Amino acid sequence: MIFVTVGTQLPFDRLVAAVDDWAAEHPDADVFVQLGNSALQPRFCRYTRFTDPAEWEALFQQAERVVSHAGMGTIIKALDQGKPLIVMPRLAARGEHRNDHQVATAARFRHYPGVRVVEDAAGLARCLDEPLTAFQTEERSNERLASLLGAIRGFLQAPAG
Amino acid sequence: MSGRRCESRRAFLVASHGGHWVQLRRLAPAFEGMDVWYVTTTAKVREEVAPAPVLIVPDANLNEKLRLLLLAGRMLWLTLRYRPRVVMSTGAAPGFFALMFGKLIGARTIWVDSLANAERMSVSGAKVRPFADLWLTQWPEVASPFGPFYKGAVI
Repeated sequence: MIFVTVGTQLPFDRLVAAVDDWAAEHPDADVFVQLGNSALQPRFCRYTRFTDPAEWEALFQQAERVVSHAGMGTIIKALDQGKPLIVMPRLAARGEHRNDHQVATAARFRHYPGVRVVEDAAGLARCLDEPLTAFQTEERSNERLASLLGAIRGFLQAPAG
Repeated sequence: MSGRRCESRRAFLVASHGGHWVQLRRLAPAFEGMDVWYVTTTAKVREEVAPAPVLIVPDANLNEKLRLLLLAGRMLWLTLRYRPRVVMSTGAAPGFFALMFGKLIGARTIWVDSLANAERMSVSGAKVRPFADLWLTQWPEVASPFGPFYKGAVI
């Protein structure tokens, strides 16, 4: 199953359309879309508008690949769990977000193992056509997390003032 | 310290729902042994963090003046009522007010700017600077010698 998620806040019709177009040409593929407030309703995918956290987690776990806007929640979970991820950042020029911070975020993560960043429907289709084995993921080192937790613990233990 | 009857270990961990929340939760282990209270924008997460208490505030962005006012009022009330000794947030607007009011009552405050801000601090993250005792970015490229500081990241 391919799990597509656009987050809760803003519609992302360009991503929904791109995924649905790909699904139309791949009738064997099982695609599930979390639509949010997108106006488009997919014709070749299963979908829901919103999920509660447990449903989202179940869909995420079942998925062999995840397609997403450049939302940090999804990126963190995918990296943490070694889930192959295709990211299409929202563009301010198309009214998909207030600014282009998703482009900057996606650019920073594009070299991480198991992550692909695409700009448009053609790029998305190319990535979805890749065999799953092309997505090399790896166990994340948690060095950065350990360091940040250490800094916070140190601050909490230091005398106030 | 000797004059105090009881040193409260209460911490407010504050984030709006979504990516900010996911990042906040990854930092929770640093607060082990403390009296952790979550402050967020949806009750959906109660199950996830139980038995830790969850306080709900309205979400708002900078374009929603009335909602910002509601959010500020609610956060001020919660701060005065529960008097946290430590306040930490990953963003966004709820965290800004939580640190501002936390500072007002003498709490120690931590801001960890979201990973979503890879080029500069978020709007809330920049504005919160005077109220943040520990003012962090998760990108070395955004850090500067005078802050924000880079100490690591949630991933």
